[in-house]
Amino acid sequence: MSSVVKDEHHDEHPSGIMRWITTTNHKDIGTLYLWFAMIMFFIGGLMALVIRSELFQPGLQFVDPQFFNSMTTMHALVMIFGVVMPAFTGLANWMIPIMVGGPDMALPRMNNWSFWIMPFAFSMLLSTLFMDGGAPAGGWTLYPPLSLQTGDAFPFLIFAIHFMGLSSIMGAINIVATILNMRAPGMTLMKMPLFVWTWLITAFLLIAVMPVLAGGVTMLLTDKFFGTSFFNAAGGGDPVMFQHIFWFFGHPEVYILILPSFGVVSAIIPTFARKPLFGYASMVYATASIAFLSFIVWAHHMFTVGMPLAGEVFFMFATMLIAVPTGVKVFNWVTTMWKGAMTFETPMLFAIGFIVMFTIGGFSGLMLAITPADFQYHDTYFVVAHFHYVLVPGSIFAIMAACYYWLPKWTGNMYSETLGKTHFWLSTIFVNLTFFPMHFVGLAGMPRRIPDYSLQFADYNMIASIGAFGFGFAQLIFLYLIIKTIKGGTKATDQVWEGAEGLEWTLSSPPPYHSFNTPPVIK
Amino acid sequence: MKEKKLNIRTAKKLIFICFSMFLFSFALIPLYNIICDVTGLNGNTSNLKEKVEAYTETISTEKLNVQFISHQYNGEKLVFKPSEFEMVVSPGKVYSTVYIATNKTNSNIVGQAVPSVSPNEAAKYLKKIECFCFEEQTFEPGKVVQLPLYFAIDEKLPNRIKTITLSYSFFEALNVSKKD
Repeated sequence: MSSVVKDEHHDEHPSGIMRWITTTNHKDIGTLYLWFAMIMFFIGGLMALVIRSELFQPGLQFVDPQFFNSMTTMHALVMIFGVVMPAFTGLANWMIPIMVGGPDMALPRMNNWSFWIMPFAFSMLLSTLFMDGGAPAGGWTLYPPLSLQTGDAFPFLIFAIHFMGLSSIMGAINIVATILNMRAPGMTLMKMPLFVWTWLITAFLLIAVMPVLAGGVTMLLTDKFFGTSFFNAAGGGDPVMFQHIFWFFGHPEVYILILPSFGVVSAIIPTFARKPLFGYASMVYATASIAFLSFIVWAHHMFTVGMPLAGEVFFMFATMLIAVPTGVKVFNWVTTMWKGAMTFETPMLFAIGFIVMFTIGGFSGLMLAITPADFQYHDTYFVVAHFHYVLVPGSIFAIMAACYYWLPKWTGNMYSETLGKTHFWLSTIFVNLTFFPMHFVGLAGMPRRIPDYSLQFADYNMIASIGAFGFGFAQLIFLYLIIKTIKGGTKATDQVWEGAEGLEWTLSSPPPYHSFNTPPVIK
Repeated sequence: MKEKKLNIRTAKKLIFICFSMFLFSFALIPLYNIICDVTGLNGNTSNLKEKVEAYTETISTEKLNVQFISHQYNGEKLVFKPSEFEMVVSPGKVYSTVYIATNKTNSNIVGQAVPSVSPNEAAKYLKKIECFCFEEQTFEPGKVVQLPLYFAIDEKLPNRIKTITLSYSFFEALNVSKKD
């Protein structure tokens, strides 16, 4: 009976702030996630600019070393857990139900929870900036015993991580349930768009490793406050044990941050090359292989802790093996573009930028995988250059590509192509200006997480700082463009892009609040 | 309605995976210790007494160096040092040496020394017949204590290892372990 009454008022929802707090609609929640990621992107970006200001010149200029270390730690936590992960979850919320032809996410109430935990988790994390003893400063990897020296901030840090983990696990459960149970009749697994496939695999990774991180940080918490000795040598524990637990989570985590980008790029390239994706099935298998391999390579983050030779050789070769499925993907994207009728709208520019610059990051990753060479690179700026290449022009560019690609669908308005292209070119120039010199200073021996450096690194650091400020300000164009597009603009057609294929383009732009209440027919 | 039940069933299965992985993270601790003990990785040496007879029969003519070092993590409260820093030994023979500890404070210090062997590979060939590291020690204020160590090197030690370093780190016992 009650369900009948509810159905009659289907399109009514509270207005104002209550609409957003009580919403169980996948589109609303997707929007919330994306805006949350945007706010965090600017907060994390400001922290990066504090780091780059201090490193503009050698010597100590603006901040004291403890605060500098807090900035590197918090920048990483905010960017990983507050920007890339929520942004991808937001895209998943918006697009997955539409792409598989389902009416909404499988568990809408849990969906509301998984978003609304995030603002609390991050208020808790950011509040540590104002606490006695300062914000966490031992690096985002939280290695004990250093991380156990954190002041009052410590329990806040741990519980914030618990909440972020809880949110991502709930999000992942919802995504898996949606993909497995909510597909329209005829939408077989091997007909799903790659974005859906990559997210299905990502969600399984999340479910498998976030609890391991939760376990690891819980052990840190009990070591600090309840006298356990998981990582305390005095009580028979071993600090290296934490590194194993952390990276058992940490390595799959880096694929959590990149696999959905592969899905986004696999959606955009065929649209603007006006050709179907080359090697769909191999893309699916490559994604699954990357996910599997991610579980057996964790110790390549800790080659220098003292491992037996057999271990180092195993982890070296297992790591290098990942280049094979990743190479398959890059090959497929390039082959999709081959002899295609290509046009270069902003989403395509970001997608091509992704392929080129992500591959640079992949190659420096291969260099780091070589155990004997890693002893030279370990904990230097070369590592910083490597993971920023895969995360900024990698994940972040893919998220931006996705925003440009689907923004006309979400808002019903076309964005300004001139502004979009300006944003792309400024971002690309400055991102390379920021991170490319870091390879050189890293190879020359500049350590990471250090507020001061030797004079011979001065020039490259100055270039990197100029690049960072340029990149930071270029993002204001992105913010302005999005607000402008939401407010109005030329109306977008339903298909938006000439070569676009998929269920999302069969809906109106913007799509109705409730879509696919009757399942679409899949050819 | 049928769909809703299906969704909840899927969610339950996935939550079960989550819990198992959470428990798995704790299971990693004993697993890690077992792997390190069995393989001798991480420089973990067995903390058990070895039988003396086993090492008095075949004495190799090979000579190798055994170095002794110490670390303490409680500042200058306890001075903890080996009496000799290096010995030349033959595998198969039992040797003895002492570490010397002086409590510089006015109160008892309770704690234990944790051994580690370098290179890792040598860990399982270093046999301790009697070691102060087997149990917790109490150091009275101002006293100088000699801590005995009897050890032998297994003659099966690979030839390429010519120097073994035995390190002891002294840790004060945690407050929790004092209770019992």
